[in-house]
Amino acid sequence: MSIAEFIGPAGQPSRLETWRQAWLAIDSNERALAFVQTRTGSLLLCAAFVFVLAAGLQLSVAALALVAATLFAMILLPAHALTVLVGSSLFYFAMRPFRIDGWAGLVQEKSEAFPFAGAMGLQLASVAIVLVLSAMFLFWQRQFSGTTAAKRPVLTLILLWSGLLMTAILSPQGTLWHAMHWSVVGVSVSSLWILAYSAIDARGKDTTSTLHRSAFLRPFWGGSAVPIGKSFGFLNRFAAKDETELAATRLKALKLAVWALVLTGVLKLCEFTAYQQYGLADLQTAILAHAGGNTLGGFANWASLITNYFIDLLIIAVWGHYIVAVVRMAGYRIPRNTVNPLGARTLAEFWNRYFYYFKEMLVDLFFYPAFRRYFKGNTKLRIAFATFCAAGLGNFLYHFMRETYVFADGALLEKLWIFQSAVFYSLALAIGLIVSQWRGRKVRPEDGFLAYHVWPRMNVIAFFCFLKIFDDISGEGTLMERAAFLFGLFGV
Amino acid sequence: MSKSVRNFVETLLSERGKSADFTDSDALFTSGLLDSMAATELMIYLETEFGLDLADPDFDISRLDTIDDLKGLLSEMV
Repeated sequence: MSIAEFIGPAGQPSRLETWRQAWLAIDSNERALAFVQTRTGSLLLCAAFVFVLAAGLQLSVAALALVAATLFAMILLPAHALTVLVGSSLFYFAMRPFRIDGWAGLVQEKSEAFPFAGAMGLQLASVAIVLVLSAMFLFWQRQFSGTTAAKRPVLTLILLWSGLLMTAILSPQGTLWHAMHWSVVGVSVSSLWILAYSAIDARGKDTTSTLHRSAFLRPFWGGSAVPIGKSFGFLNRFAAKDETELAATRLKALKLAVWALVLTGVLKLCEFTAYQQYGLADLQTAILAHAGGNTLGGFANWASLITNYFIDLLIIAVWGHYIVAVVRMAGYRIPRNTVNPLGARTLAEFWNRYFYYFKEMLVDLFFYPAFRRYFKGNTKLRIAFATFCAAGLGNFLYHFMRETYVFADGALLEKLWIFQSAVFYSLALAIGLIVSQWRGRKVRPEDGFLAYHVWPRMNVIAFFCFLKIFDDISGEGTLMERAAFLFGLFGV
Repeated sequence: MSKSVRNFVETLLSERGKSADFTDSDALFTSGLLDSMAATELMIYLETEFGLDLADPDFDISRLDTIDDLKGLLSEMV
């Protein structure tokens, strides 16, 4: 076939375009749907899916093996899909209970005081304790559903966890008590938000048993502490209702995984071009160089800032697409995590399109509870306060709680300074979102191309680009140094 | 009454670049068609236009999921 034939004559769809259209419509193609409903078809589809995941190189061999084994088991044992899902997630929780390396490193270090089987023994003991505590909490909530604490499960969980953290901080260093405490704090903070969703589900219509919900603290599809797919209350709403819907959901999963693979290629190419070919520094390096008096120069700093923004978008998109694809392959047609963030015309819309499940978590666990309770007589104030609770308080709490392992060696007040940029970031984001929501009239297509398509998007990109300067929880580069970098971009 | 609610939902959809082609029994939120911020806008609209009190902390948001649900809610609470 010649290139001309492949591309096709002007005015007619090329062969490439025909293939693309057929691929995009594959989840509604009757022949494909019928094939995937057969045992052979579903196994082949799953094999292709696992191959695409492997090609993306985003998962470790162990994680890929667990995902593959779980998905094949769910296909082969459809009547026991829930048991397979919960069992696999329980195994994953036991093996990888920490979402960030800081906690895993801390538990490794503290395990010297644990007499049985070292770090793995300490980890497994902590997982067992957290599972028991979670089950007790959910059973207690069901039993005493009329109490204020049961009606406000998110606040109750945060207060209980804070109490646990305080006792860990006060526990004597080098003791078994100290090691156990910190390990339990680390395991529980990694699963707190999904437990909060489970507790909220208990008040809704979801019929999943308390036992299943209490064992589902780290879904086998992985990810950060942000629960992608929330919990069973959300997942069950998107569960395939019949064989045809299940086949369509699995084909959608393959499509999304392939799209993630394409984006992985784009990401690698961008990283290679920016960092290898043109020698750009990443944003953190540029900020620290500026803070150390060795600024890379105005042009290089701008280039680092803008490159960082787009590469970050690609990283989040790729990461989220792979996880959502696995959830879909498991039979739950949940929405994507990232959907065309560059199309956002408002800050709130960007937040929704950039990291949907983080935004949903902040809205479900912080925004709604505040929105329903406070400032009911004043709509603007009501929205502003609820937005502050979500984007400001909730956002900061999530990051702060995740990083509390830094307090394990004492020096509490000294370590609190690490979070100065995170406080500013959360406040600035909350203020930006409040102002964005307060602005009355929304732009319309009739306002003109620039007013509708260009300026709102440029504003959103600029806001989040600059905000990224303060998106740090490492403690390297103070708030003032980051502010100096920002002003330095404008020659100030 | 239900027509104005439907118009409002259509506006929410068009603001999010989605088609306003849906039936009264189609799920709006649990299907992912509309997000949680749209639910907030809808709640404020129902409160200001029809005097509903949806601020009860125990109010189940899934009661806003379809136009039929909204019709039922309005006939029950107004």
